[in-house]
Amino acid sequence: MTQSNKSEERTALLKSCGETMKLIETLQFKRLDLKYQIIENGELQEAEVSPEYEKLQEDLFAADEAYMTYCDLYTDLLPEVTLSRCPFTGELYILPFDSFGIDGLWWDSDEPVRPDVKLPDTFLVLTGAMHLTGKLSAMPFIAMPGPGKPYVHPSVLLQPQVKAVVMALSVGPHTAWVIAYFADPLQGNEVLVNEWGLDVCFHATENGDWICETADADPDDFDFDLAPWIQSGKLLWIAPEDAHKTLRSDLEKCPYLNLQGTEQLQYVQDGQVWTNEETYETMADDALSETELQELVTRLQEGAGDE
Amino acid sequence: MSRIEGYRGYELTRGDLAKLIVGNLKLSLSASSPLQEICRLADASVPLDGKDSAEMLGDAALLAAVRVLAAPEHVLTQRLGGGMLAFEESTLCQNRQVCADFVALHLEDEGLCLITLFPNTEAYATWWSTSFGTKEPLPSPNYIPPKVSLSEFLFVLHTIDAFRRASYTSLLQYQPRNRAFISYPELFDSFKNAIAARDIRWLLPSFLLLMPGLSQYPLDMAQQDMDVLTRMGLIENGQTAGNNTDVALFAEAGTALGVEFTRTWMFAAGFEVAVANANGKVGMDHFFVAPTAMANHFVRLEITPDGRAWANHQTYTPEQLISNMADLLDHGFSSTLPESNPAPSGSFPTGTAAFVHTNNGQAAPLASAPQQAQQQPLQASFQPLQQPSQAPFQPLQQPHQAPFQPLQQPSQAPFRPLQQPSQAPFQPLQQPHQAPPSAKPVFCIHCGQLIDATSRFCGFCGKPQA
Repeated sequence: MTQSNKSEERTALLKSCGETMKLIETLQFKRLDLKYQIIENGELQEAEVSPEYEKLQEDLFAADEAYMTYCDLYTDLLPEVTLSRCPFTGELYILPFDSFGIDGLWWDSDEPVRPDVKLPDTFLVLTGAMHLTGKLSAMPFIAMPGPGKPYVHPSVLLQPQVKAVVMALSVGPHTAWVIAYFADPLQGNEVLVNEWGLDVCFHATENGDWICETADADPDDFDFDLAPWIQSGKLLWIAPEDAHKTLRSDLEKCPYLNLQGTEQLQYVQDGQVWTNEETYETMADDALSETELQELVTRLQEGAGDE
Repeated sequence: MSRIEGYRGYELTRGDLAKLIVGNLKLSLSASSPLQEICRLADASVPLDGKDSAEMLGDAALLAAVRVLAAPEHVLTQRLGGGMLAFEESTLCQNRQVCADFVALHLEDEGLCLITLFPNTEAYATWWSTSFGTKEPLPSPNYIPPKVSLSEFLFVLHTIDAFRRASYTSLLQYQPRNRAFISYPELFDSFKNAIAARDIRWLLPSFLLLMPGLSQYPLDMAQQDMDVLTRMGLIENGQTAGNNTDVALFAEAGTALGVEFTRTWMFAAGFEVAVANANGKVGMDHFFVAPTAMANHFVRLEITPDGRAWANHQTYTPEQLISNMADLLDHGFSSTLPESNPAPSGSFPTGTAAFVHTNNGQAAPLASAPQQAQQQPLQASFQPLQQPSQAPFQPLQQPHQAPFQPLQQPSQAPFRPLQQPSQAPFQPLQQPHQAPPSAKPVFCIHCGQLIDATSRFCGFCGKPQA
């Protein structure tokens, strides 16, 4: 299948998938409404087996099945993309990665569709940034492509055994920067940060199991001044569209310095984009005062007393 | 016999050591023993006697060390030299059945043998790093990051040497340059000459001659291997201002490495960890360290299953050097021979070259080495290189195709008569201020400064001239 055919098939698939996701969401809300109704009436048992509830369950089950099928089909369409190269071993870091756009399920921050692959032994964590241009993803899930220009996590990179590699690539109409961290030796107790597009990171335990955790993701801790990191040998770079994926350490030709773009985390959903800064501002605007909060607590307590 | 201060070790004369082994202990040496040469002494069969003999024979640690050296299970060969240092070789041996210590043997020029004991590989790596490595604790950029094929790596090393050449040439010709460059014919010719000359004062010949077991790695040089130089930012194409001649300009990475090695590189060391067998030893791991003031340049050689040889270059701080060298030594010293070999059974480590060193000094690929590596270890053919301007380039004779010559120390290398300065065409020195050569200089009789011959007074001290 050609790249163009894959792209068309993916677009059609994601359209259906998006509709299915919205359907699932609608059905889940309906089910919740029904459940709350049932609780209020105190007829939970009878309502669960009611034809209306049963139909809802069946529709939801069918929608889930359809979604899973779309996920499988989507996985098959994911191209294997070389995202980096280990600065210790020279091994390429290749991943099934959705480079067609952030409307793909790979970018679903809540339930990402990312096939399991064998990672290089030295691989630590994948992070990234993206300059958003053109049409934004209209999918119902939230995509988190990171800040608008490349950066590093000093807390990770300052560890003596860790190095990072930055490389640019296109993700649909957007320009993305992959920043992959590697460690030699990988000790298992490294400071970690959240994976690209997710709000979790993964720790491998001594017995080979994986633990999923949420790390702090404060853009104030990011360092967007890459030059000192390159000069110190901790950060290497790969030229955009370099077929050999040659690692470089020189500064003069590095194309990733002094780029323009937001330093805040970006979020994309339903064709809209916002940053964490805006989120915090909104939260600050809507924040309850002490008095309002106390009134709310009192009303809740009174309501609970009535029951 | 005397003990070495600061380490658990001994200093003996070669004669005493030979007599102790052959005359007193009557040890038979294995094919891989580094004591072979010492014990060929004519009077080795005569036992030691006297006070020294009693002291040596009563020292259990020394006797165990000698037994390890006589029949090691694993042997690390280290060749040190290059840059400003003459060639020398030493070994580190292990035999777990005899003792837990690692035993190093170094033969000194004065006929002395140093035997040093190390409790583990980390102790050896620490000693090596402290003795020879850089002291710079800060990390340094790696301008030759992996992966680089072995043939590409040779070009990289030569480019560093080429920067040194360009610097020296600029210096000798009184032509300071903002940006160092070298002509393509000189770059290629010096590459050939560097390999042919075997002059370990330069980096490329150092690597070729100091790496034990290097000649068995497959080397398939081709024109496109030169691409790595531009790809990694070592050089870039340029033209001279006057006659528009194509030249190789040293780019940022090439300049940084060139300056580093020109100013601060003193020597390098090549290592081979080998497993002993009945016929000799089998090289398992090979690495090379070139310390500078900036970093420990550490190169590990690898063979991929497709039979290609790779050089993994890293810049290590002292701490990283100790850790990685110890890890590599642990790997090598715990290696066992594959089942197909008559020696102990075990699995062949993936990505490691294994070659048998036989008693006659020849090397043969191990039966179970990666198949493709066996097919072309020594028959690698060199494709002629062409510079970007497509100038024809003469095929290079690989060092591996040439019959192996015993390594010569720089001081022992055949000396080619130097062209006498008097025979060289002499350009008359031009006088300052374009004064006619016939004009006799006149100096002030009071202050000695050069003055105008027609002046009645000195322009410097103002005193009248006679």
